[in-house]
Amino acid sequence: MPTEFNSGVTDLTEMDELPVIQFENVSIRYRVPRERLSGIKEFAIRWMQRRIQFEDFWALRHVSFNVSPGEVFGIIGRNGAGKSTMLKVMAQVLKPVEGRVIMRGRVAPLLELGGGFHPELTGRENVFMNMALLGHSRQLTTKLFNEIVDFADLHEFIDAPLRTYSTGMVARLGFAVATSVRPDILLVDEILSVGDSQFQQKCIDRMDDFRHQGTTIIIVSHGMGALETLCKRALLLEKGFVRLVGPVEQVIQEYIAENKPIVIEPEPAGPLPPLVPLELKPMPAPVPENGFVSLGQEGGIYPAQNILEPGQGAVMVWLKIKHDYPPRDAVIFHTDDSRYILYISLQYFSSQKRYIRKLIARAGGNKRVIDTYYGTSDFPEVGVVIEDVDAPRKYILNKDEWYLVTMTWQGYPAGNVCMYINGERLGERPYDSRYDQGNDLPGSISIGLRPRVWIGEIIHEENGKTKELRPDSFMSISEGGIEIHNLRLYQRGLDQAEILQTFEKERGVMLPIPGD
Amino acid sequence: MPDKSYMHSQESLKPKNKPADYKQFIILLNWLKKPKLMQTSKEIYDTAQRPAPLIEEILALIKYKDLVIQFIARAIKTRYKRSILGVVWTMLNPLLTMIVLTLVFSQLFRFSIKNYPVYVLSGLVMWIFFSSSTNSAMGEMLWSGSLLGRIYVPKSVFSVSAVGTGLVNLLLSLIPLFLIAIVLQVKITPAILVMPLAILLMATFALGIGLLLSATVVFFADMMPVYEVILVIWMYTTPIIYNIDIIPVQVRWLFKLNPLYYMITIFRDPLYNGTVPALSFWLIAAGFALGALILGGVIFTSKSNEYAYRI
Repeated sequence: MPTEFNSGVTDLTEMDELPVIQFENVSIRYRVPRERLSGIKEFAIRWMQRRIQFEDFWALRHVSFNVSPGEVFGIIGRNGAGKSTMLKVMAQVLKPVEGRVIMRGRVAPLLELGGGFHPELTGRENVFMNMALLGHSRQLTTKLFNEIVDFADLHEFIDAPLRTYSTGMVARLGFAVATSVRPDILLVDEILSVGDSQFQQKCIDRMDDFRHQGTTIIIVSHGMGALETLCKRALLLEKGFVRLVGPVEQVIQEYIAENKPIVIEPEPAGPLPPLVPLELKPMPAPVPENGFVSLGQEGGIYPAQNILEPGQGAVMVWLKIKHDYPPRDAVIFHTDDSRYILYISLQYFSSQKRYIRKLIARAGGNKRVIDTYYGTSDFPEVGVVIEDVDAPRKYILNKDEWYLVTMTWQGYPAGNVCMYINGERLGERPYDSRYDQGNDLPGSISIGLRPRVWIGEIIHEENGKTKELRPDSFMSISEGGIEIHNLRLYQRGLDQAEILQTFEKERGVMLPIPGD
Repeated sequence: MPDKSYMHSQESLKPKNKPADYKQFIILLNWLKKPKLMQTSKEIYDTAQRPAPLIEEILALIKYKDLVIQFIARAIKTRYKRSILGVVWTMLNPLLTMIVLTLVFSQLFRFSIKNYPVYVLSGLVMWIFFSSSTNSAMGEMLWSGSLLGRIYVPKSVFSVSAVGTGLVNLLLSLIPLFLIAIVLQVKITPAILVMPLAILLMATFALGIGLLLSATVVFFADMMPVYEVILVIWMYTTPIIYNIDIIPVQVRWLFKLNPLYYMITIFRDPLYNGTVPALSFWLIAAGFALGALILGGVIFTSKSNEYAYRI
């Protein structure tokens, strides 16, 4: 059965002059403590010390647009662009910090089919529960009950507990309930990603039916194909801003143009110099001297026992980016489990339309903390942009000059990981107990190397299993245009005064004398 | 109705293969033919024209009253779903606690309270009502986070339905309470007619405290265990298993600051003594109940916009 979503504009727009959905300069800000303060005691202590730092995250900025009655309207954007937030604002879950939202009509979210179901209750009981969650009266539910069961085709099982249902059956019941009353505005997130194709067709048919009766439909999707067939107009979100509102083809084109894989442009132009594998040298355990150990051998692999610990420590190194350094990831120091790394990574800056180098320090954790709310994931890392672009944390590293880079950490439960360049404190990141996977300490350290496959992560799966992805191979960065000198590893965190002292003492040797 | 689900195997529950799409097609046609309920009155949601948070919440709560009923039904159904005695546990629980307390206190410590089982049980059912309502108000708020992030529901439904659930359980446990009273030949007088008012005041108080706790727990998950400790202290500073007369006169005023002292007395006295407590007790209890509800309601709704960001 072909869909007719695109078969001409309905005349319903003329029935009602006012837009069904009206966003006027809407901004949504998530204000989160930079550290996760779960306890009252912790909160009270930090509050008294005035140490609670909040980080503002603007999920939507100055968003304005209108949707007319009967329109099928798409919302497009990358992960984290603010699509889900937009739906939450429309569903009246989030109230905007600034601006005004007007929704003219009853809104029904079709966000996650069967999200409010309870496994112990029967299908029948769940229908009544979910209808009540959507704000419908018991009376109306009783009236519509048979229709709902018909549509879901679950007559035989409606008095069985939901835990005995298959996923498809739950999805069918969820859709039947959510669409049992025609809403004025239907919000659809990731259209039809559940159920079999027959069921999906049924859903599309019903939505089509709704549209003919005047329902406005908002669809959020990654699938451009689905959007192109279903919508007439769409909105492109980028980092919370509206980039474009217009005909769906135009918006999709813009989106694709923005997000096509970027070929790294080498600087200077020309192919990247080949990476010649460095000869790996197993090294004896380093002996501490003057409170630190020196790791001098580029390509050397040192035993890490009794050297690194999550509690505290510091890595200090002189670093030079040579004029022929290609845009490429590089690791200056890392442990075999990637729990402690000092590395250079490329990050795409859409404002610059190119990759920008970042120097990143990670200490004490390779357990990725996933924030399902924002769709982001994090390590205990501090990153500093080292090129001349507009970025909050920046320290330009001129080519062919030496810089003293220091990462230092005071670990769990309440510490930070910090980064300094030439004694200047550039950033810190508080620890979060969720980073701490409690595994054994790393077995070896290598310097001037990078793992060929850039993984070093312990993944905790939903079923309780743990998957360890340890780097299995190494290759050299020595041809990559980075030089390191005198890498020192301390078993305690360093403070700024100590770092500055070292910098003042050694800069005469490392830095060119002015005017020379 | 016998629960047939246990007889189904996972396999038999899978939808059977049907001849083509024929059946689906008929269903769909029927669906399309049926007249739809057209919503005539248009709901308008405008963030610039919203009533005061407290009023908005009350209006929404009225609209979602069926959800409250559903939540109460679910809580009672799921709690005993797989147990043999089922709802009987609601009555047995305070009864068994009462028997233990009676054995320990009336025998070991020789309390001079006549009809001790009735005394302790009447205090206990009220205490269980209060503690379980407030505790589950907080818990429901916390565990419903994923739901709150997806669809709009007035957030106070969790507190209201927690108190409602507690109320149903309380009414059930009145049955053993009165049975014990009759068995022990406590003289039942018309004074018991004021007990519903006492229950109402306790429910109001519990709702106020439940809202207050729910507003707190969103920001500090630690409130759950902290409150459990508070409840233990609260229980032993409330004259439930003992009489306030055993408290030294010098510190008795301190015990009389406790709202639950009044709530429990106005419930217990009509049954246990057969008398209606003095008006002052009622006024103080009503004052605490309304004060808690207003405070809880205002604080809860003033923060309610933030919950979706936090949970």
